[in-house]
Amino acid sequence: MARVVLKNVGKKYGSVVAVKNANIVCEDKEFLILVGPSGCGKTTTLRMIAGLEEITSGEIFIDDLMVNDVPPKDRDIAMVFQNYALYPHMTVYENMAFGLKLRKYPAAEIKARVNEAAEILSIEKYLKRKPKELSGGERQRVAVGRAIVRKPKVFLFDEPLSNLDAKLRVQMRAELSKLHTRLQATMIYVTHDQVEAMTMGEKIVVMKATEVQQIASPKEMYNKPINKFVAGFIGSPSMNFIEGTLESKKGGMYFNEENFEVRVPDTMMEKLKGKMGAEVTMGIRPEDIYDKVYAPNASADNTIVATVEVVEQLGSESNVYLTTGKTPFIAKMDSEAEVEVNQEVELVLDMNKAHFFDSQTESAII
Amino acid sequence: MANRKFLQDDDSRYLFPVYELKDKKNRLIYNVWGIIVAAGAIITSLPFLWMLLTAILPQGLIFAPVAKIASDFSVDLSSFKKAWELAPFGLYFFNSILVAGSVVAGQILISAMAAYSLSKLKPPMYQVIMALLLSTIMIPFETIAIPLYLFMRDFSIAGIFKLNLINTYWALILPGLANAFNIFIFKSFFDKLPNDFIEAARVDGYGETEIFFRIILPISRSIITVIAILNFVTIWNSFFWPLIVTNEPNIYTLMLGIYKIIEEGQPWNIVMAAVTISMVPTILGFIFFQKQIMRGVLFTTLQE
Repeated sequence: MARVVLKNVGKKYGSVVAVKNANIVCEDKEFLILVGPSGCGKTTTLRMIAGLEEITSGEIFIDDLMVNDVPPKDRDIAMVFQNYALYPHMTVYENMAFGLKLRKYPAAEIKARVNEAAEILSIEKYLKRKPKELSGGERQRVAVGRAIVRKPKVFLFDEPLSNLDAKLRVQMRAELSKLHTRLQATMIYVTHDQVEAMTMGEKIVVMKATEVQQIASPKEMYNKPINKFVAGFIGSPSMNFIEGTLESKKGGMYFNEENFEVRVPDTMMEKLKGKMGAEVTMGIRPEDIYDKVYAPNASADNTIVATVEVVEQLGSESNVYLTTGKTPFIAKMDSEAEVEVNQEVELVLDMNKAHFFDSQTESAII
Repeated sequence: MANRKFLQDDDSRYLFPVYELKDKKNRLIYNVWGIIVAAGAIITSLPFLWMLLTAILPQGLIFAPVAKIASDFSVDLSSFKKAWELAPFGLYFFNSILVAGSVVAGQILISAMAAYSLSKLKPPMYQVIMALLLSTIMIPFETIAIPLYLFMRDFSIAGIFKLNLINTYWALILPGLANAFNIFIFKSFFDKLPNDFIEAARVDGYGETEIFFRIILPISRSIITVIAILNFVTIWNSFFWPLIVTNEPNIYTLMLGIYKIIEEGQPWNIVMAAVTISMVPTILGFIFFQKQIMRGVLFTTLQE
């Protein structure tokens, strides 16, 4: 397996910039996820690693070998495409064996490898079928199988689950994670779905408008987002952003939103003192907002009053859309919580988990 | 939309939503269209039916009034035997199959390769090249017949090997190999093919030539069938160009053979029997490949 390194990699189509100075390292056997909204450059980055797009600037290394000018077939990579890209005139077996035949592997080894991959992916009974006789999930397995049989240095996945229905996507997500554990392979995976990124990735690269925003583990990405974009992109429902000012009173620091004020924990004061009196954005995740009835550490300093606008019942929990009168926000509550539309509720913010962003630059202060 | 019930033809293509037929006005429109289509079918098949009728009628009834044909109607299949014995039809069949088969095979290879290049590889100025190719469709064949004849007569390779191709199979085959319309049809088909197939093959390690022959051609079977059948019929029926470049009976195609029978002043039932014989391969082709032709024409092979 291999380590993949991107050094200042850029891509331009004429005057249009698709990827700007990407510096990414995917360690050997790592599952790296490129995630971001449409048009952020994640797929272009993956295609540059595959050799399907030429690089405008920078260098790409696979196992210390610079591959800028190496054609895709010589990079020892395998790619799984969004639309599966199974050859419709070939059976599943032929599809999986296609790449091995070219490399002139003995027939016995081809058969052994295809059967092994088919067993891993539970597609043994489909080997004689044509792709059109398979469901979306089965086709996706075949596409993965075609990559596995090659035993490449690096696996590349281009939004492989986006054509599957929600239930199958969850199932395939777990299977791909298991596959990574079993193969101990270097995998680079592109998705626009932050849930896929968080659940599957060992390292996540968040991209926005051609630029890499942050590279971190899922936990770090969730707990320490580098800016407002990453904070809002990771997590579902998204982090709430509340505009306000920082004020000093009662011997502490308070965040004032006009309709409410909450005390900033003392541990954060040092980093925020330079912003005293200035406009800042407080970020608080919906899961860090509690119904006062169930909150363990409720006090006047962390309690706010808001009006319920919409309640989305999800069964085990509910997403409650509220407003302070100035700022709309979402709270994730226990489904047992009895809230109704237009009701005024008292909520407790877990301020130890609050984030603060510079309102101008949108960079994280804490 | 999903719950709507549609009238469907054999190939499951939606024609008319059933619920719309409940409306009297829609039913009338539907029936009028049916009558127009039926009339079109009858008008189109009349010459064919006339040909068959003439071929099987005894010689004396061919130009008789309809009433006499109806009262004295009898089938005389001897005209087919006479036509077959009158000219070396076996040789003409061979020549026609050789010429039409070669032209179609060459056309498909050249047109598909050109179209693949224009659609997927996009060489510099590919749009200009495509426009130039399409502009050749506007030029009537009659205007280039004489230059083409001279080109065949004084054919040379790099100015060194000079050959007179008149009265050879080459003169019948070579000018038909390049066909801009076929390139256009192939390109339209390839434009709709996802690039993923090609890129997956590139990652798998295949070069462009292998991708073309092992991926693109096999998945283009339906469009190849359509182009092959339509062009085979065109070449099979072509008369003007073979007449210009051949006067050697050994390389006559079927159409020239029939022309020869007409020139000899043979009775029309024999001529029509010869024409009927000449149509057998194309009719069989249509019967056997009807489904592929319809699917290919509608460009729907990749829809699942």
